[in-house]
Amino acid sequence: MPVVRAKLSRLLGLIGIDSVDLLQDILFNLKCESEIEGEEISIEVQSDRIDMFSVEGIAYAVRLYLEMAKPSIIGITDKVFRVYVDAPVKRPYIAIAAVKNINLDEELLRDLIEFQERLHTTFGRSRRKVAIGLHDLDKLPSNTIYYRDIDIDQTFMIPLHDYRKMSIRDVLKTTEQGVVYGSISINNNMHPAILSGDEVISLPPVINSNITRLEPSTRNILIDVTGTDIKAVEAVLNAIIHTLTVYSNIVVAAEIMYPNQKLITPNLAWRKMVIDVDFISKWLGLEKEYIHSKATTALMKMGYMLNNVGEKHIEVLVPYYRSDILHQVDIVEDIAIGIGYGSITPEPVTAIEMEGERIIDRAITRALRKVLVGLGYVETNTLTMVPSKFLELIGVGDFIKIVNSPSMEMDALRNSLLQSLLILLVNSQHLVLPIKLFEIGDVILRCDECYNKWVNEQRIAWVIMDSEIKFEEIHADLYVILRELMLDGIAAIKRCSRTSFINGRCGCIEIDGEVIGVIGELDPEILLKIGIEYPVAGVELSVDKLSTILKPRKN
Amino acid sequence: MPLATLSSIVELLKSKSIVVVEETEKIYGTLSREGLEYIDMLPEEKVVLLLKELGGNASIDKIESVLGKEQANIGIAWAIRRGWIVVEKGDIRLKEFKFLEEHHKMLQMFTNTREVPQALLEDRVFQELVKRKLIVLSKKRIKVVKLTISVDEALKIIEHGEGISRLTRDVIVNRLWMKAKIKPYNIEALPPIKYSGKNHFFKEFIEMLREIMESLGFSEVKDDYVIPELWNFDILFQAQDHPSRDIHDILIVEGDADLSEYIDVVERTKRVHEEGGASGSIGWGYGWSLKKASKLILRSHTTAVTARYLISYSKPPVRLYTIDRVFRRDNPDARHLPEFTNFDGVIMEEDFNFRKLLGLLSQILRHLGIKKFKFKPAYFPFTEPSVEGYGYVAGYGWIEVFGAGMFRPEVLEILGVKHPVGAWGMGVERLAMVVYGVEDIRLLFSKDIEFVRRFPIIRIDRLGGV
Repeated sequence: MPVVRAKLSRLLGLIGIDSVDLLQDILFNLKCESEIEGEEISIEVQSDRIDMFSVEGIAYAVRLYLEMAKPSIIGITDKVFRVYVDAPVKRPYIAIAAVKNINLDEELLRDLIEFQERLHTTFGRSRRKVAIGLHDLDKLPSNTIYYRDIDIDQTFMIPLHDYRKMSIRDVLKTTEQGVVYGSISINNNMHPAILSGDEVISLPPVINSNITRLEPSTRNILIDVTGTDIKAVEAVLNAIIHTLTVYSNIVVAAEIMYPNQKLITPNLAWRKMVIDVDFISKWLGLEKEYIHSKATTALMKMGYMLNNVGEKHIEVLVPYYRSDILHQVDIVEDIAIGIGYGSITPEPVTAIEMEGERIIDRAITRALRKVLVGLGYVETNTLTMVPSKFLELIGVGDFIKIVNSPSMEMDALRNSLLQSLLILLVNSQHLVLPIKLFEIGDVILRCDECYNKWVNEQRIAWVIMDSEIKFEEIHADLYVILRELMLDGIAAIKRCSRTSFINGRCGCIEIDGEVIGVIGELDPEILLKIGIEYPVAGVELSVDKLSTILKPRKN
Repeated sequence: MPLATLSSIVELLKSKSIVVVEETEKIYGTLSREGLEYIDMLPEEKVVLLLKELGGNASIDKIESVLGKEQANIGIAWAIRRGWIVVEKGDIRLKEFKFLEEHHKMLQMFTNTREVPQALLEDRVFQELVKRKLIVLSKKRIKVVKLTISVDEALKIIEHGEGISRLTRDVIVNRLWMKAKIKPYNIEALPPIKYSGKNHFFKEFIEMLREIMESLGFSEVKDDYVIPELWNFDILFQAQDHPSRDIHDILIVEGDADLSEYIDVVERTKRVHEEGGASGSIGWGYGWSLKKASKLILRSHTTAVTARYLISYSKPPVRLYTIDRVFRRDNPDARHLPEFTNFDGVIMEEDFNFRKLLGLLSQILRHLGIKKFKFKPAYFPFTEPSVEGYGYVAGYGWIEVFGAGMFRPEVLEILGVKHPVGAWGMGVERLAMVVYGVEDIRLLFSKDIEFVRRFPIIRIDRLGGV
């Protein structure tokens, strides 16, 4: 989530209030979390409200909510730019506009640059989807602008904060921005550029030219936005204009000449949307009468203008800077926010009869946990993630590996619960013996015929580590479990051999010929490999298989 | 009985003054190999007997040639010393001799190792044999355990202890406690360490959540950890270039799912993403990719589970919940783990609405024992309106408990659901940490068994709530 930092006094000044509590309360209602530290306020804004990525945008939303401002339409003052587009292959769209007569100063300039960066990193997907260039309009060589791919060896520019004219290839190679963003839109030896009067004024999404550099003395700002998604490009331009119009209403537009169509940017038109009163009432659970009495104020507090409030429909105009409205349900939410969630009385739901589907699973796990605790075992809560090097060390195959794990300690998922318990025992050898542990948890098994290749199985495992192990003990505990599940007459233990267990001291637990688990003593060779010096015995059972067996028996 | 066991028993008896231990040093003697050879005849005896056979006179060379040089030399030297012979210019003449009865008796005594009696240590013959290394000496420390009580008393103890220490059936029915005193315990001493079997506190916390949901009529559902992106993101109307789908945030595994059996959902998803479908939405307006949706990942939230179940449970009323593990690409620290637990639920009713959702959330919060709470507008890509529930917990202040909202119409259309659905989700660990006062999320996951063993059961039971 983007965070906007500002001087508290500046924000309060822009809003025109002096109560910090009131400010924080309104921010809370506008989906923002705020934190005050000394003179500064940090505001976490929602990632879909790009119009609130700036201090000015936040201030405006708060003023609206407090009914200190009324939504108003801004027109285009003039249309002076003509942009000829020969769509760059990797970055086909551009939008251009200017806002004139702004008194820029150091603080405003810094805020503006931060606003731009916030848009770049989140909504702009680190400049891949959308990138922004800000220019001093008075330094623009010509109002005729070209946007096209240029040859990186045949074209030259002075990158921002530099004085040397260099080839685009050198800009990409030698500047910090070139190294980070240079690969996004390059197409062989061609790269998108914005030109004006034979000069490259911007190399989107990498860097601007130094010749149109913004300065605290800048009065007129030209904005270019380029990207791969025309809607996103226009939305970002509008969000910037929305912020700048706090200072000046003089907006200058551009004609964007694509080979087969002509667009005007910015498009400051308010979108008409019709909301069904019945839908609002059903969705929010509020009476229509109540909605009619509250909707106008609520919508205006959220920045909408109302065309018509009818019995069945409310026709609204959606602000040009709101790119997050996809469906009437988004406006319904704004009505709820405008009314205030605190003013909506919760209506409790009545309890209904549960569906029986998974009751048997719960009964089994509950029984298993009760019995093992009764037998003196301590329940553990381990991660499914285990180190692959551990699994390889004990000779386990067929486990799932995570491609982009953040840590070598967690780069695979277990395919047996005993693996997690053994890892615990390795770290517990200095503790008072005996150590008796159990856990119920999921393991992940390969399933070539399944649509997702890997499936979960719920298991239970328990282990004993002691200075000397009496096999009867864990064996007897298994029979306690079987008896409590009423499976003692049905289950049989057949000698079998499994990796990790001592040959001859390992048994498979079978019910109706199906193996549902394993019991045995751990192979000393394995124990020493992983660094355990005490004997360990263990049992692992499939809870899923137990429940398949018990379901028909119980019903 | 092993020596170690024996000594500890002896120490115990000593501490009870039943025995004393006397420690002494003893000297043992045994014949050397040489001593064994001379047991019947010493070399000097051999020399004089040979001389006698030879008529009382012989050259040294002659003796050496019969007895061997070594034996001859030792024998001649000792015979001279005893005054049995004289040597003149290479010839030996016998004077007189007598057999060394006493030496032979002494050697006989030590054919087996035996203790050397004190008196013998002063004996000249013994000293000579030791000096000649025919008898070898060794020392041993011996502990002698002696009863300090009479044998009768000891037998009684064997039968009843010094008094009765362990009550047995025999003691009781045979009224032995009337004959012998029941021994008092050192009741103030510390016992050996033992641990109770116990449930893990975090698992118990999850059990509590399950009981709350069951009391409200919700059924638990589960799904696999490895799922295609489709369930995790696409059916929830999250655009394919959404930042939360970045490989820096989710954990991926190799391979793609085969979505051919889910063709209906896939079609609807594509339509809604691209142009809103019939939901009344404008959609995201991009080309939706099946390949991207098929990529296998470790699910990053459990809304992926509850939402997917709605595809098959599309008739109201439906109340489902899940509490299970999810995975994200976070570096482990005190607040984060790449694997943690989500609690998610959905409710569908013919006339379900936001007000009822707030009602249900209030009920859950109250069941959790949170009496003071508030709702804040929030943003989630798949719900509208969206809300966050905050609860007030003494000592912590306002904490975020869950995120919730009404599934967007776009989501409902993708799922093929015709009725409004309320949904919520929360991270279980965060809340449990507040409830149990645990500062580090890693302590909820066992690494240190001692932490669980020592976690008092009285702290586990939070059925009274937060």
